[in-house]
Amino acid sequence: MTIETILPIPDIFSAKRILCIQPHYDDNDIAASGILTQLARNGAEIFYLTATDDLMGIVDTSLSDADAAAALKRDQFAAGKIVSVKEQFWCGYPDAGEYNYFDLRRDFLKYIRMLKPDFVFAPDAWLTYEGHHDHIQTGLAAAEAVMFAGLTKIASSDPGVDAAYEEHDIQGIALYFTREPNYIADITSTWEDKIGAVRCYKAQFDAPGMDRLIMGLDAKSQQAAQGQSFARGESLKVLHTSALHVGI
Amino acid sequence: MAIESLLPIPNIFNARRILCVQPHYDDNDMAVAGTLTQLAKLGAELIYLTVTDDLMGVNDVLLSDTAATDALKRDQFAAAKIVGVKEQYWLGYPDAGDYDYFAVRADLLKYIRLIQPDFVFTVDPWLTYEGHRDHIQTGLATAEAVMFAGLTKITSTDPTVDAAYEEHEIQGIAFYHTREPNYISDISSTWEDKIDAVRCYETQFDPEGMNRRVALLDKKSEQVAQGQSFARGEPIKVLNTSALHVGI
Repeated sequence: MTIETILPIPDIFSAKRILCIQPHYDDNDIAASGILTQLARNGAEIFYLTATDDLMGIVDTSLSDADAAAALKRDQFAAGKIVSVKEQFWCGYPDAGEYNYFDLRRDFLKYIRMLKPDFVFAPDAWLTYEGHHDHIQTGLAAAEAVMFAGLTKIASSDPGVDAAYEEHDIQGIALYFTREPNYIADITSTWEDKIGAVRCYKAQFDAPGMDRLIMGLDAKSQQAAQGQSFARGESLKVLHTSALHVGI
Repeated sequence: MAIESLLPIPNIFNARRILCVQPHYDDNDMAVAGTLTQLAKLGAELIYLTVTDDLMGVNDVLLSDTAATDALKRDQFAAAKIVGVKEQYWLGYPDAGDYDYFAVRADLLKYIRLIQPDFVFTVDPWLTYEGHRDHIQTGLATAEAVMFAGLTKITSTDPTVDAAYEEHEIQGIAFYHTREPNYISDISSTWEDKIDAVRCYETQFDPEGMNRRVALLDKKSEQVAQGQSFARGEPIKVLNTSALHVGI
């Protein structure tokens, strides 16, 4: 027996300003660029915030860190153009590294208070059998920062942002990379855009690796759409902000 | 498919001395005041232990920390009178703060060895989509402290308590704020007591916020009683102490 939340599931299509917090530079797009492209076309402003510096997975190991960082940003801006991401921010924590959870949470609090999104996307930290610590830390810190945005006694990493902040409503959180979706987004109309965006991430995928990733996404998008009236889906767990506490 | 414990589920109504470990000052009562009131009426001794100082969520931000702490304790004592709590203890870790898991566990070991409960109640740290780190840390540390109570080589924060401790039996642990209950407690007879106790927590809820909270508890208590022979329930995951390890 699993008890579900009694709170209404907010409609992501009512969001006008969406902050997508990702552990690595390509997670938002690999997981949810089909739906994010649709939301942007419907007029939502999309912001990306990347937690780590992504320097561990660079294909060309001869690149200096500075050159690698530049290559990663080139990929992100190219993909961002396809998805229509309005602005991107980076926290720069070491990829797969040992960083402090509370520093990460403080940085997320800063960007949430600064950007005032009405919806936040992030990886599902409760994905069982997710082995990547960056995903778990990012998902947990994003959830807590969403909950605590209005409690300015909990300081962010920027006192100026905290002082200027006026409480705003975050309707909900959409968790991607989930095994417990409550919403399957129909991405049939934006599938080609998604694949176009994903193919921009060349700094971390060689050509055969990218083809394997696309095949995986192809199969997964069809699996997610099974039993639905459309061919391709993206899985999301969409929760009311207040559902992030005590299982209400 | 989920494999369940093969150990018998202990009966909470056999408990004579119950330690209820909560992350914040109102969690025990929000979650299980209905059940705990019944247990107290049947003669069980209830002891509450609160892990954090709760200073982040105080409504009146003009209150000094000392005045806020006094107000929080007034709320707790008023609620405890209704539920029948015998004694209360506090650890004072910073609410939503950066504290050490092992320090909390060592403190919990002290109180478990000192009080020698035969049942422990706490939050379910495996509640999926629980965003509040205090809940996850408290639930995990309590589970470990219950398991390790008899192993005095694992020291508590008080060497004299460890030296004086004689092994005792903890029949089981009852996790509240759970999505995976194996016991729905009938709280129809103590619902009014529960709401009266919850309404004592004025320092963290303004009247409007309290009304919203009570409305949610109302709806949740009916949701969990669906399919039962009673109108209102509290969901609990009750486990044999030995079921806290390797899924036995």
